[in-house]
Amino acid sequence: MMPSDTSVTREMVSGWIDEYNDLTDPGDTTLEDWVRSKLTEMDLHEAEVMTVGHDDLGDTTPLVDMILMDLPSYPNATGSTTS
Amino acid sequence: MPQVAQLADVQARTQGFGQGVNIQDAPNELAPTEVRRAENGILDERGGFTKRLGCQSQGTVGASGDRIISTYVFYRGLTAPQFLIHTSAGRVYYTNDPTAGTVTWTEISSGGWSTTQRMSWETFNGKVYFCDGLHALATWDGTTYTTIASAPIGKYLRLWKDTMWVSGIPSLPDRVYSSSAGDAGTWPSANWIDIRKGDGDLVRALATDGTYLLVGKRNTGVLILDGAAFSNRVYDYEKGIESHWSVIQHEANIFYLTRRGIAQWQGDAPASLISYKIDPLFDPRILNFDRLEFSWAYAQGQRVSWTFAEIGSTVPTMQVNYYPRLAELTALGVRGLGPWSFDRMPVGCASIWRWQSSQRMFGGSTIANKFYWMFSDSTGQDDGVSFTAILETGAYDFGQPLLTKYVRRMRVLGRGQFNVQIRKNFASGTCYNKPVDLTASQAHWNTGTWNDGSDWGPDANIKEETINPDVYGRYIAMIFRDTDPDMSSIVLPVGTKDYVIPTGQWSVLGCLLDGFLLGIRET
Repeated sequence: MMPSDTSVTREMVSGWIDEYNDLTDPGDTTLEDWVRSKLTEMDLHEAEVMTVGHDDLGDTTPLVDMILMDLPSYPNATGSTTS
Repeated sequence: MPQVAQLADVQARTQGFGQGVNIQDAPNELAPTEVRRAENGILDERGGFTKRLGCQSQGTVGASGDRIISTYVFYRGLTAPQFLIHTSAGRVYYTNDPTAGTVTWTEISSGGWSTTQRMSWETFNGKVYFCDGLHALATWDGTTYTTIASAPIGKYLRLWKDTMWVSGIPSLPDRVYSSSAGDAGTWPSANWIDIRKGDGDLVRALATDGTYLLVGKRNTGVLILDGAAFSNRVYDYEKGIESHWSVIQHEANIFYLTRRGIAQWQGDAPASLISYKIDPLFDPRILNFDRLEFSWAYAQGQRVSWTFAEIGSTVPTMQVNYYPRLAELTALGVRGLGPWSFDRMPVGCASIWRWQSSQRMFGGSTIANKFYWMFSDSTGQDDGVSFTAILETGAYDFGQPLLTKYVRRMRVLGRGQFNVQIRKNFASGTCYNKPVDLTASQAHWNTGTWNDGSDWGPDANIKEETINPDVYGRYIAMIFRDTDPDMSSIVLPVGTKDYVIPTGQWSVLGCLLDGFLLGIRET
């Protein structure tokens, strides 16, 4: 799908991050794991986004990777280690 | 060795100042219509130079140390537009009437906005969106302030193809985001692209010509062709855009500041530098390069202008003016390069306001917490302070560079009062100074008889005065200058009706020199 066609908005991702931050005991679950699990719940864990315009990506890229690569842009994503 | 030659009469006249300032070429190589200095005057009347109008204070805003660092006009269809400002106190205000003698400002948000980063603004779906790179994207519909917490927190906004675009995220310097089409409140999570990822540069501007989205880094310009697939390509490998606020559209052209000077967008091709004649200005010993990212552009009438902070200052101290319409037509029917001039106004950002019959340029003061009506019809001073306007011609050699000349007479054509000075042989000082008064006197109307020798009707708007410099030299340059706070006017004939347009104190339209060619002397 085109990047703009994804049903997952930044608002939703921001909400997931808030949920993760509110976890009292995340254990070994990282924020990345948390986001992956949310996409799995939505049955979007295998969704691919067209990224032909990106210099460093293939013609398509998993939606989950696109979200994870953008976690640093979320002010509440303090636990992110992905960039 | 001195030689005696036969005296020969010589006359020379200026050919207008229509090509503006040239500080690039050697002083002895200037074209007859170029000038060495032109400051605080406008070239709107082709060939002439007229002192600009002043800045009138429309009152204060915030505390005394606050400065207006960004301005915007929020047009709202049939409802009066609002003038919005962002101050160095991190506050955002609006007024419904910037033309009031003392403007009333109402705070939109005191949400601790940036105190240094200029606000970026766009109007979309009946709201104005604004951001500063530090705080959530905000909207204002004229009465209600809201924030979009999930939107990317960027410095730059641009509306393109019914979509809001954001860039300038400090931690992701290459990234550009797009909202959902038609909805700047919704941001799909994968709707972003890195432009020239990891090239060490950072996005400094978003712009558009309607067809493309221009992403300006400092050293490269990239355009996005397709807002859905983010197809993009580099259009300029050598220079990008220095300042988001330097991008300005004037008629069919887009101009902006690059690291090499002012450029004109060429459409999917490297931008053309148009500032050759003032190239030496773009030097870190002259301009504060650290503040180029905040250069601000505005357009009024025939000219577009950019504000710059000179070295030693963190706020704009000068303006550079370009006159696209005064560019000569080339043999191919396309416009060449237009003339340049400078201003020194205490203004760092400005926007043009138009509502009903009123159109005015308003700007933020750099020296006080004041809001200015720039080029006000009612003042020849900048917030009560007189300023100097100056025009200095190139050095004339009368076609005989070897011979010494004796300048016996000068006939100066213009308006108002100013001083005529002469600089000879490239000296730093002047060797002659003469006040000239070409002021139009009051109209003469009485009950006398026609044709009795009286002067009837209005006095001439343009006058000529003869002065006698009595100067010897090989190269003669003329300087016209003043610091008079008064105003003058141009009478503009529109068919059978004359319109009186306020101007600064004086205009110089031309000058005739009359003298002798002498022999070869040691001068």
